[in-house]
Amino acid sequence: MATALKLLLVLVLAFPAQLYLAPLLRIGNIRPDFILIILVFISSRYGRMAGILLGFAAGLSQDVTGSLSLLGANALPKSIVGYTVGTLNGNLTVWTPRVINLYIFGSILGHAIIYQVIMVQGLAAPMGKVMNNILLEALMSSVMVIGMRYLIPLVASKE
Amino acid sequence: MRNLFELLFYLKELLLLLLAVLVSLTLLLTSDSEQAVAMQGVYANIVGAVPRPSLDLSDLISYKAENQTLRQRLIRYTLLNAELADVARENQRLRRMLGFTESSPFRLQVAEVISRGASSVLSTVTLNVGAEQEVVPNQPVLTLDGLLGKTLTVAPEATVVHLVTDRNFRLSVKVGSQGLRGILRPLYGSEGEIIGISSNGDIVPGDRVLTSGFSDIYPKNLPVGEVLEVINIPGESYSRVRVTLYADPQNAEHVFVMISRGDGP
Repeated sequence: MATALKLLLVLVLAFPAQLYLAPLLRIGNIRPDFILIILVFISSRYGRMAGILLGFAAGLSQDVTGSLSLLGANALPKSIVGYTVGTLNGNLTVWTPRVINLYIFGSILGHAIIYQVIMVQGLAAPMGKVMNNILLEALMSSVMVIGMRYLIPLVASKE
Repeated sequence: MRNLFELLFYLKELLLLLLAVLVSLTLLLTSDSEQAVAMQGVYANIVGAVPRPSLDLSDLISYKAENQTLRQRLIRYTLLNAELADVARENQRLRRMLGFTESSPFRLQVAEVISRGASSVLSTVTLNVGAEQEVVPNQPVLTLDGLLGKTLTVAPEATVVHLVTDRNFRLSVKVGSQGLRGILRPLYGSEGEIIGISSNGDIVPGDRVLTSGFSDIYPKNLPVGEVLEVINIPGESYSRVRVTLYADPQNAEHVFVMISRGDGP
């Protein structure tokens, strides 16, 4: 229970960073997703269950603050990222660092693809621009996670 | 039976993921509901109440350039104002001659953007004005460049604005020298397209796109954007007109809420 509250508090603290710090670090129209970055760290440490629950809750909160007409646009990909990255919980000591980095990049890329596809679905959006944004969004978050991974190592939970 | 429970326990993470995906998809398909708007209101209340630093790094960097731009605009508008004053006098004289009632000008409330939401694709912004400043839902919101959107959810000291760039935003506009009417819908980023324009219309890139006035919310002639490209599809009687929107939600700091349209009784 205490751990769950602690994790919720960490995610709650990520929101002011996302609201006020992310706009300062944006490239073009793309802002880093600090909530996704924190979610990757939490999921890899506490596993799939925590990842799905927190991913869904954080994504839904994110939707309420921005994606008004598409409630669930963040909740869906973040639940999936919580599940996929949560797999690392049992494999951090088995997989090589390069495989772990690739796996994290793949999960974040999947998040960007699902989110952008939901956002442009039904619109005659130029695919080149959408692809650019997907890659930029995935690269930005992946570089931050992988960079931070060496400062704050992802450690599997012993619980 | 026991085996079934064991199987469910073994698959609990996958089942939880399926549940989360199902709930998300249900929300996606039903998120136009009033509950979603009510949740936005709660969010606007929280964001409006959170104290913010009066000056941040981006302000310091951008203030000098912004000041320069505003000075240039001030000079331009002062000159334009003198010119318009003459036109207004002439207009008033003509109106009196024709027996028109005098219309009052728009009443605008200046507001600051205090939040752009936590999602990476922008569809709403939150302003630091609310019901206490006479803001109500469905009022046009403008920047110096053009239409930014409309007020959606209003809290006492904060307002959520539905942006013109959001995928669900639709606007009746007119374009070209003939003032052809169509419906503007966003495409991606700062681009949009006008649908319902006849393919034999006289529209060229660079034409201004203005609100048509066929709306209870937007008065006519508010600047919206500029024509980028006219796409005529062989065999179709309607053209697709690609436009670039004037308003830039990512960079808008100060905006104006149109409290009164000025065309009332």
